[in-house]
Amino acid sequence: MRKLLPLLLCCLLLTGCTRDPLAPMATTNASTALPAPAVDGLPVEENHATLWFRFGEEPFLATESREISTARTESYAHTLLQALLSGPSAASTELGGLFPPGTRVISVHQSGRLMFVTLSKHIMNRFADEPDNWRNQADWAIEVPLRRELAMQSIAATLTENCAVDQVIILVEQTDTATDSLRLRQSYYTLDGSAALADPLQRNESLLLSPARTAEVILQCWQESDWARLYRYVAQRDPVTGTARPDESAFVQQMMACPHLLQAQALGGNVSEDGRTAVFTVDGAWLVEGAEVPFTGMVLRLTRENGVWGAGLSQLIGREALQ
Amino acid sequence: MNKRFRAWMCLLLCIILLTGCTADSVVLPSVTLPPVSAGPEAPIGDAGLQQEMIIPLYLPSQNRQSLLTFYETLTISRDQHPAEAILRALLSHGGNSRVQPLGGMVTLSLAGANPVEISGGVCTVNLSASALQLTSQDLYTATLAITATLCELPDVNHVNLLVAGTPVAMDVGGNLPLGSLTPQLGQELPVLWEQLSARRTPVGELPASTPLTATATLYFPLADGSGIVAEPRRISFPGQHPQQLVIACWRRSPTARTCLTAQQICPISPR
Repeated sequence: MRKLLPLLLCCLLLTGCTRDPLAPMATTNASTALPAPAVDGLPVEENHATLWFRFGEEPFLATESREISTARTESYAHTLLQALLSGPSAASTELGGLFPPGTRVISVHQSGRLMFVTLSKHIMNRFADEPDNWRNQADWAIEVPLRRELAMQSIAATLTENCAVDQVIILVEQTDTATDSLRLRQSYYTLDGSAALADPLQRNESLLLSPARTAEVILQCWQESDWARLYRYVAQRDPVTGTARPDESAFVQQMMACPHLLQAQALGGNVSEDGRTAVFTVDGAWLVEGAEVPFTGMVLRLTRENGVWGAGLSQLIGREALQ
Repeated sequence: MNKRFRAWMCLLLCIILLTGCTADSVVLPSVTLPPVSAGPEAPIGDAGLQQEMIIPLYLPSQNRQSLLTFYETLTISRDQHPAEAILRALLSHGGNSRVQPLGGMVTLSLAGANPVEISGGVCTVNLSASALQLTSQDLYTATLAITATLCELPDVNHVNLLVAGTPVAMDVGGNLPLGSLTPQLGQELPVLWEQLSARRTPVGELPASTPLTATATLYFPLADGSGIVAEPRRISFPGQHPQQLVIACWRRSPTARTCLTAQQICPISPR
């Protein structure tokens, strides 16, 4: 017993030994987020990207090209979408954003040729200017679903343009609700409460103002005598004559003095090496005194200004001499 | 006799031989008469009077923001003015993916035996009472489309609209006249409607104190009494009370016209 007592005391003394004074143990606070990694000073990658935004109030998207800085801590696609949701730059006065305020990109994941994009729940919000009774107003009944279609198409067009993907699936953040799928619902477009899942997004060329689509739209406006709309596609400065675009009333007067364009079809569409002009050949017919007067070989030259294609005034005025 | 016979025979043979002589020329075929050309066919009924014309029709776009032009090939009788046929085609157009029917859900039609009359560049259109089912804005849109379509004709510059033979007003009180319209191409329909609505008498004010400037069609009798002639004029009215409108119109004098001199027109003076 006498031998065991000193041994026990020695063990007790040894367990109390320490080099430093005792300090409270550091614990992680579960309620606070982990500190963000310091990105300052990390190398960034500059990429020349093409983003698609809405062209004025038209049902089309037009491009804005800019340099996108991507930090090594996030994916290029994520940065692209953040730039897309932030809207066009101040220099692109004819372009507009398509997403409700507060919409964020939560995650982007690529699987083969498919891109999964998760957006915050704000994407389901309405725009501030949309009236409550929009279904009863002819213009809003078209505009409200169109905005949503263009918003999704801008994502699809931007990602397919800059990343190696063919399709995009949109997921929407779900909070405080039980759901069987995060996929965007068809009701996002139809606004009728449909629970069906939306199809994967593909690039829809009919909504994108490429040179060929712009030529089609210009000729369609011309045929329909939709001068106010055609005016939006007239270049600010005519590269052929060097003159500025006239005001809208003067333009309408000049177009009304021309004979009706009964039908027209644009062929070709060669884009110059610098990407600033595109040339089409137009075959069609004028309406002269109730009779159809066909013509062939009218050259329509489009000019690119701030990413938007348009026709100089000289391409539209005085062309009836070609018969 | 024998010698004589022989001589005659020799002479006869010579004649026969001579008839066989010919020069070295190629025998050409004789010129024949040209084939008989078919003359104009006799008309069967009135089919010969029909002609096909391509006509521009103006209809409101699907979002009702603007008027769009569409082209229809119409069969029109040569002995009638095409305005009525064009108007019937416009009213019966069912719309498509780009444009709406003129009356929307309301079927518009013409009224009376002579629903379209043209005088002095002014076309007066008489719609049936179904047009009254339209809202004022939709009726105004329909009128703009009718005006744009009819003014494509070379002899139409203005359009007057009647519904069941009566002029229509663009306000609830029936004071704001539609007036004579000219084509308003290149402008957005809601903007035009706002401009018209701005002429309405504000709530709480009297129509008599709300001035108005509008185009009206005045009818002046010819000096020889053979008829009357229409003349559209831009008139400033001091107010929108019917008496003010009538008096302002009466005080106007005819102007020189292309086909009628001022001397041929005598003004009506207010009593």
